[in-house]
Amino acid sequence: MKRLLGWMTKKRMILVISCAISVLVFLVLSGISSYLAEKQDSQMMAARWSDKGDVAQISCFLSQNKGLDEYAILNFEHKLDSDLVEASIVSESENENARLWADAYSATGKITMQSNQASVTVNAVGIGGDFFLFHPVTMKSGSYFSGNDVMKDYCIVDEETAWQLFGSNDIAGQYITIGGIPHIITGVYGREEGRLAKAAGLDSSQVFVSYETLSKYGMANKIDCVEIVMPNPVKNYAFNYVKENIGIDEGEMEVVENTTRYTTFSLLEELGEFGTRSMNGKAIIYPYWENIARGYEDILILMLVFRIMFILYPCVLLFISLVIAWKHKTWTTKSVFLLLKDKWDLLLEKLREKKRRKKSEKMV
Amino acid sequence: MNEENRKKREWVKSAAIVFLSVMLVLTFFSNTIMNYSLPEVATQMIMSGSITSKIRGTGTVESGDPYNVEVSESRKVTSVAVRVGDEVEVGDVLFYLEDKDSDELVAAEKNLAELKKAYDINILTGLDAALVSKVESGNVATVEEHKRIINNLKAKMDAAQKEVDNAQKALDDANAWVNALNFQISITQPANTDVSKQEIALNTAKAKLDKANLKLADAQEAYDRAVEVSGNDPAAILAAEQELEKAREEVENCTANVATCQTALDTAKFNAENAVLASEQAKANLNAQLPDAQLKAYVAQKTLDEKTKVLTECEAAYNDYIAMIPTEFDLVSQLEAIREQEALVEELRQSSVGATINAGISGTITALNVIAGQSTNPGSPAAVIQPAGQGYTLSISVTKEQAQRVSVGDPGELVNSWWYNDVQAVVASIRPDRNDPTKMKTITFNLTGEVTDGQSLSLSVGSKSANYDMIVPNSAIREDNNGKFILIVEQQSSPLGNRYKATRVDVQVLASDDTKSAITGGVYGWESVITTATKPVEAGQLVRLPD
Repeated sequence: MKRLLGWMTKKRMILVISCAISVLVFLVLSGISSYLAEKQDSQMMAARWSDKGDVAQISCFLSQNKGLDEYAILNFEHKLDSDLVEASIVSESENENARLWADAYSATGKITMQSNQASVTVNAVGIGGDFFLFHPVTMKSGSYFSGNDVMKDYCIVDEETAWQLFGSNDIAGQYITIGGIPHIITGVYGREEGRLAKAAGLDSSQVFVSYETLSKYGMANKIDCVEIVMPNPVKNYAFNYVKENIGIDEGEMEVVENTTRYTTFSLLEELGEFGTRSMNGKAIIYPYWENIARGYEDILILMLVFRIMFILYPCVLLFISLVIAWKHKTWTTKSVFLLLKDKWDLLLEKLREKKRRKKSEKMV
Repeated sequence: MNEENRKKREWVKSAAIVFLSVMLVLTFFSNTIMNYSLPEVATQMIMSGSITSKIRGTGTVESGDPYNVEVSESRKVTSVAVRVGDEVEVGDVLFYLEDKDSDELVAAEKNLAELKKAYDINILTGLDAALVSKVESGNVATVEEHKRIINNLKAKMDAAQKEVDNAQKALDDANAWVNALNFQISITQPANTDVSKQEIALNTAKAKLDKANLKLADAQEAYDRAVEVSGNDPAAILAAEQELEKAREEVENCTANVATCQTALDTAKFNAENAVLASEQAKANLNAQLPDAQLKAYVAQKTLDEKTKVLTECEAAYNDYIAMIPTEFDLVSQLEAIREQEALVEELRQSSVGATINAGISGTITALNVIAGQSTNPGSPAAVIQPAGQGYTLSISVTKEQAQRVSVGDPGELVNSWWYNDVQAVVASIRPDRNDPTKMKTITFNLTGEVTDGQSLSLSVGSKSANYDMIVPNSAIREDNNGKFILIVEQQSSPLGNRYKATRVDVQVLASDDTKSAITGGVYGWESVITTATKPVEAGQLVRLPD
C-alpha cells in the first residue's frame, strides 16, 4: 500500500481520477442509452412476444403512392404461414392456440366523430390486426380493441377528445356516430407527451378507429404501415422475408428491423450514414411512433459518440501506461520463472515436512 | 505526526457517521422507495356471467311488398288527388288525366299515316296495276312458287334456245347443200372433147402418105429409069425394084396409118360428142335438184327466224319476272307494315285509359312520382301504395363471420332505443349479399311499430347469451408467442409487509363480446386479474395495488 502511494505522484493521481470519471460517465451514458431504448414500447414487441430472443419485429413503411389494401395483407399472411411450415418453423409452445407471428397494419387520416353534445374532427389512425400488441398505449380507462374482432365499429379516443365529446374519461361503452353509423368507444388513452412526441405528430387530438371505418367514413390514404413480429431463426431472416414478400417495390417502401435498431452495431451503421441520414428520396410519411423512434435514434447516436470518446480516453491511457511499464520492466521471464520455481519448491518442502510430522505422531 | 493522525481519525469518523445515517434512512424508507418503482396495477375479480356477442348494422327502412300503380300509356296529368301519407281505399281517385289521346296513340297514328303515304307513292310511280291488285288481294305466290315459275321460264327459255340452235343448224346444212350443188354445176365439164391430136396425127399421117406416094412415084420413076437405063443391069434393077418395093411398102404403111388415124379421129370425134352429151345431161340433173335445195334453205331460214322470235319472247318473260319480284316483295312488306300498324292503333284505341287513375288496393300512399302538368311514364310507377297491414323491412350488410352469430328469428334491438316507441325487429332472412356474394351477407329484419319508409335505423342483434363461469374484461387478455394469457395478482407476505406478484396464467378465450371475454385456464375463479397498469408488467414482477 505504501509503495503504491509512493508511486502515485500528483500527475498520476489526476490521470487516474480522470480515467475513473471517464469510465463512470461512460457507464452512466450507457445506462441512459439502454433506458431510453427500452422505454420505446413500440420497438420492444419482440421482447414482449418471446423472451428467448428468437423473434424479430419488422416494420414496413409504404410510400403515399403505393399503399396496400387488406386483401394484399391477407395474402401475405397466408404465404407466411405456408412458408413457415415449409421451413419447419413450428410453435414449440404447449398451448395449441399459440400463434407463431402477429401482425398489424395502419393508415393515417382524419375523421369526424359526433356525440350528443359535440362533434369533433380529429387525426385518426385506422388500424387492423393486433395493433395494440405492438403499440400498448397507456389506457386511462377501458380496453384495447383488435382488428381481428368480428365487429369493426370500435374506437379508442384520447383524453382531450373524450373531454370534448362527453366531458369525462370514464366513457368506455358509450356510443358516438361516425358517418351516421354508431360506433362504440372501448377506451380512453393518454397521448405521449414531450418535445419529440409533439414534433412527431402527437401535437393534437388523435383517435384510433378500425381501418374499415377510416376508409369508409373518414379521409384516409391507403395502408401505409405494416408491422409484424415473427420467428427469426437466423440473423436477418425476418427482415429479408418481409422485404421480399410484402409485394411492394423497394423504391416505394422502407423496411426497418425494430428489434436491433438500437444496438451498438446498428447505431454505428447509422453513424456511418451521417451526412445522408436526413435525406428522404421516397414519398413516405412516417407515423408518429416511427418519428419518435427516429428522434431517439438521433439522440442515441449522439450519446454513442460521447460514449466512445469517454471510453477511448481511459483505454488509450491504459495502453500507454502498459507500454511504458513494459519498457521499464525490471524483471525478465527467466527471473519470474526462477521465482515461481523457488516458491513451488518451498511449498513442496512444507508439505513433505507436514507428512513427516504426521507419520511420527502416528507411530507415537 | 499526532496532528496528522488526529486529522485522519476525524475524517474517518465523519465519513462513517454520514455513511451509517444514509444507510439508516434508506433502510427505513426502503419499502416506500421500492413501492414507488413498482408499476401500479388495477385489478378485477374473475366473475361468472353471460356473454352476448352482438352484431350491429345500420340500414334504411323499406316498405315490404309495395303496390306499384302503373299507367300503361303516356298521358298528361291535370291534377293529383292525393298526397304522400294519405290513406286510400280501393277505387279512390289518385290522378285526373287530360282527355286526350295518349302520346303513344298519337305517335302510332302518325306512323301509320307515313307508312300509307310511302306505300301510295310507291304504287303510283308506274307500277303494274295487276301486280298491285295481286298484292293487295293477297294473291302473292310464296317463295317456293316463285322459284318454280322462274325455273319454268328458264326451262322454256333454254328449250327455245335449243330450237333456235337446231334451226340454225338446219339452215346451215341447207345452205351448204345449195352451195355444193352450185359448185358441182360449175365444175361439170365434158371430158376429152379435144380431137385435135387425132387430127394432127391424121394430117401427119396424110402428109407422110403424100410423102410416101411421092417417094413411090420417085422410086417408080427410078425403076423405070433403072429399067430403061440400065436395061439388063439386074442389080440396079433389083435395087430399083427393092426401092420400089420399099416405097410401095411405105405407101401401104402410110395408107394404113392414115386409115388408122382416120379411124381414131372418127372414134375420138364420136367420143367427144358423147361426152358433151353426158355432161349436158349431168348438168341438167343438177339443175333439177337446185330448186329443191334452195327451197329447203329458204324454209330453214324461216324456221330459224320463228324460233329466234320465240327465244326473244321467252327471255323477255324471264327478265320481267325476275325484275318484278323485288318490287312485289317491297309492296308486300309495306302492306304488312301498314296492316301491323293499323292493328297497333286499334289496340291502343281499345285499351285507352279513361280520364282518371284509381287506387287498386287500399293502403297508404308512400310515393307519388308525377305531378300535375307532367306526363305519366309507362315504364315507371306513377304512385306507390303501401298495403294496409303490411310490414316494413330493413336490411344490413355484414361479413360472413358476423352473420354466423345471427340466426333467423333473433330479435333485434335498436341502438338508442329510447328514441323510438314500440319498434320491434326480428331477423327474417340471412342471404348472400348481391353485391359481394363471396364475402358479405345481407340480414333482413321485419319491423313493426312506428317506422316510416326511408328512415335510417341502427340495429343490434345477437345470438342468445350464454353463461360462463369465468369472465374477465377484454383489457385483461394479453398475448405472446405462447398464446393468450392473463396476469393474476398473488399475495405474498414478507417481513416488510405484503408483496404482490404478477403471475402468468395461460388461458383460452371461449367467447367474447364488446367488453368482456369468457376464459378457461388454470384459474379457480376467485383470482384478481390485472386489467391496466401504469407501466408494462411482466410475469413474475412485483406490482403494487392502488391505495
